[in-house]
Amino acid sequence: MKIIIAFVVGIALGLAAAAGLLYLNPLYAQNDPVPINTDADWSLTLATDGHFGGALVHTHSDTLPLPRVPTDVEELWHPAHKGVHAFVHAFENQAGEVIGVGVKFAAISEASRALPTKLLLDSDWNVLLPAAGSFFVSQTENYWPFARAVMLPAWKDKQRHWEGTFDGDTTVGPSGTLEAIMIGASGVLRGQRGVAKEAITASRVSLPAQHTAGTAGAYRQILTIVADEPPVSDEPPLAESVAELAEDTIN
Amino acid sequence: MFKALISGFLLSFVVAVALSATVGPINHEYTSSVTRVTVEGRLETFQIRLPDDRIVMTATAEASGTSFPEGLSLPYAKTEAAMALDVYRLRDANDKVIGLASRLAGEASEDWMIFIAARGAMYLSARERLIDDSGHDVVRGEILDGSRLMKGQTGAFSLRSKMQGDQEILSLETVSARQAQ
Repeated sequence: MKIIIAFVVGIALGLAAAAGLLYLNPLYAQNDPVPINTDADWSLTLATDGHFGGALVHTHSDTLPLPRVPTDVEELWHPAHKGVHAFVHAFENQAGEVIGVGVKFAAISEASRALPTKLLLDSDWNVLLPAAGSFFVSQTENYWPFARAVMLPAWKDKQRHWEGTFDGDTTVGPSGTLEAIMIGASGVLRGQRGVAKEAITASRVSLPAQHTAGTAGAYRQILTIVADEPPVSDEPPLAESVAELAEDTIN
Repeated sequence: MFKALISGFLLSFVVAVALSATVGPINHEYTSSVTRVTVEGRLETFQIRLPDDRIVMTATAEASGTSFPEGLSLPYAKTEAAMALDVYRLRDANDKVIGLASRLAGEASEDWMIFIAARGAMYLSARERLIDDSGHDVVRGEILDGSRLMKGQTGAFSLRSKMQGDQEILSLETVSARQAQ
């Protein structure tokens, strides 16, 4: 009997040690910066307040303990939606004026692994900027650095609050050079191809209780696209408005 | 007894670490709605039942319409342009929910994105809107590309709206072929 008890205690200690190893993971590192040239012929950087109060809509399958916004939006409860998140964001320029909207679908990737610190999301954007046109972005993101640096400390805190500095790219693919892929759809972006990246800057995050309204924090998601070639437009007003839009955006 | 303790420790530690390195947190159910393969490519049929499959419906003040959930609206845009955004559950031809779909429309554009977790996304851009011989609204356009398993898929799509009892059925047909990358 003592041997069985010792064996069970050993199993518990082994599991605790494994959990400790994953928490203090020596393989943990920030995502590599995405090497895209934002000084290219045509680039655009868009910012949006994060989903801790800033997203217009965030619904999901309850795989992660996150609030839904607004609280009465339907949960993604179908089995096909397991691990899936849907977001609606408004994009702002530097003056805080709304210049477009975007919808983002993201699914926790089957390739996620704890030991190599990969909390991967396969995500896709469709963004409409009325002055410029619309585009899609295909990307793989790694949220492990953000979860480790921001979310975990916030969850552990009694007030469910985190303050500090986080500034990093979440995009890690899908291309071999870490970049996301941008596909133009309409307006001056029609027919355009390019690259993109998404990043998060945060200095304060308050996590609300599940299924309650989010609490705003100092948290921004930043989406940058770089077209392979400058867009061409035969309509001067549209071209002028695009130029104005580019000047106004956050760098 | 000490040997049992060490054995239990090593066994659980090694197994837990090995699982954390090799097993993912999720396994998405692979679904396909291929109905047939044509000369032009692979024909798939999807459908959306309204209002049951509506998750989000919202628009700027410039674009009239009701919102869902109630009270949700897109903020006033600097451009003062009309924008409308919808998110739906996506069903296959057998009426099984397999993913999500979004519609993002402006004054001169209408994009659709279909998203199936196990397969990826398909990016659609409308090019014309018309009424067919049966009097149904039809949207036609291009499949620009896709992501993951649908990456490189281009082709055409048509979206038909028809009433079935008290429900509106949006029937989406895509014909796509994989382009060399």
